[in-house]
Order: sequence, then structure tokens, then C-alpha cells
Amino acid sequence: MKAKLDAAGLDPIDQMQPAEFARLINSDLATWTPIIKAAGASAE
Amino acid sequence: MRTIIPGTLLSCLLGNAPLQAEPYPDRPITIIVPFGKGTTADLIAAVVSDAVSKNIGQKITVELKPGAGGGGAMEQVEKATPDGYTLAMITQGTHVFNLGLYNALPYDPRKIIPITPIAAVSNVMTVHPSNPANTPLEVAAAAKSSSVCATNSPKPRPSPR
Repeated sequence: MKAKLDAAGLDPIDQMQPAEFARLINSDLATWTPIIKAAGASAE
Repeated sequence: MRTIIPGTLLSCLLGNAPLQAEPYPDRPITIIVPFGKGTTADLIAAVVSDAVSKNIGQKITVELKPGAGGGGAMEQVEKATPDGYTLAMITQGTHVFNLGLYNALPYDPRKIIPITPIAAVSNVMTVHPSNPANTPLEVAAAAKSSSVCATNSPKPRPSPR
């Protein structure tokens, strides 16, 4: 599977435990939400 | 400019499903993709479904449900029976950016349990050659001085696999 993803130009990510994955999402939320709000961006 | 961000991820609804008497999985699984045919999420879902299906000996169906920034697809996943037979490809869009971009979402990302990331993709910012903005800061400045519309995907089209 990794070889097929790599061949498609994607970067496979090593398996991550669900709790670690959830922490990554929360970290991204803390990073990006203020930036989106500050930029005044919205989706239609 | 080239920016790499974690891309497509796989989640499933687990909820408070009762312990199953039968070994899992004993019937086909569906992976819901919140974007259209030919998108990165579609590509990854195809690769994953093929590999996992061969590994577990069960059919895995990929269901494409584009539109509303993935909101409709995530709503469908959230409302699905929490038995592990409905999985979803999620992205930073569905679980991070949408929370800042929309005043209200038809789904609660916290109710869709993340399993593991699968792959990262490159996102590239481009402008028309005639556009004087050549850097992200210049694009941001232009956005603040006028109404700017940005898009990162084509308009949704129903495209069953």
C-alpha cells in the first residue's frame, strides 16, 4: 500500500495510535483556527 | 511555493456499539469520501480499500459524497450506525479548517473517532501570471484590500464509483 501511495506522489505516514492522532488534530486546530479567524476567511 | 500539510486521514465511528457476537468484519465495509472522483482522498481511498479488502477478505465499497466542504459526508458518517462498518476519509479540511471557515457545521468532528493518518499531500498556492502578488504575504495583503475568492477543488459532481 505504501508503494502505491508513494508512486501516486503522496507521502505515506507511519501508523499512529488513535489518541496520538487525536492530539495531532487538536494541535492543528489550535494552530489554524486563530489564523483563519484573523484572516477573516469563510467558506460559501 | 510548496507547502506540505498532513493530508488524508481515516476515521471511523465507534460510539457505544455493543460487543459483537460475530468476528469483525463479517460483511462489507463502506468508506465515505467527502470529495469527488479523482481527488486525492478518492485516490487514497481506492488504494486503502484495495489493500485492506485483500487483507481482511471482505469487500470495501468507496462512496464519494462531495460538496459543502465535506460537511454532507461527515454528517452521513456521524449519523451512521456506530458499528465499525462505516469508515470515512477525513482531512484537515473536515476536521480543522471547516471549524474556522463555517459558522455552523452539520456534524460534530469530535464524534468521528480518528484511527490513523494515512498520507500527506502537497498543497501548492498559485496565482495567474498577471497577478502582481507573488508571495503568500502579498496574496494576503491583496485579500485584505479587495474581495478575493480562493478555491482548492472543482465544483462537486455526483460520481459514484
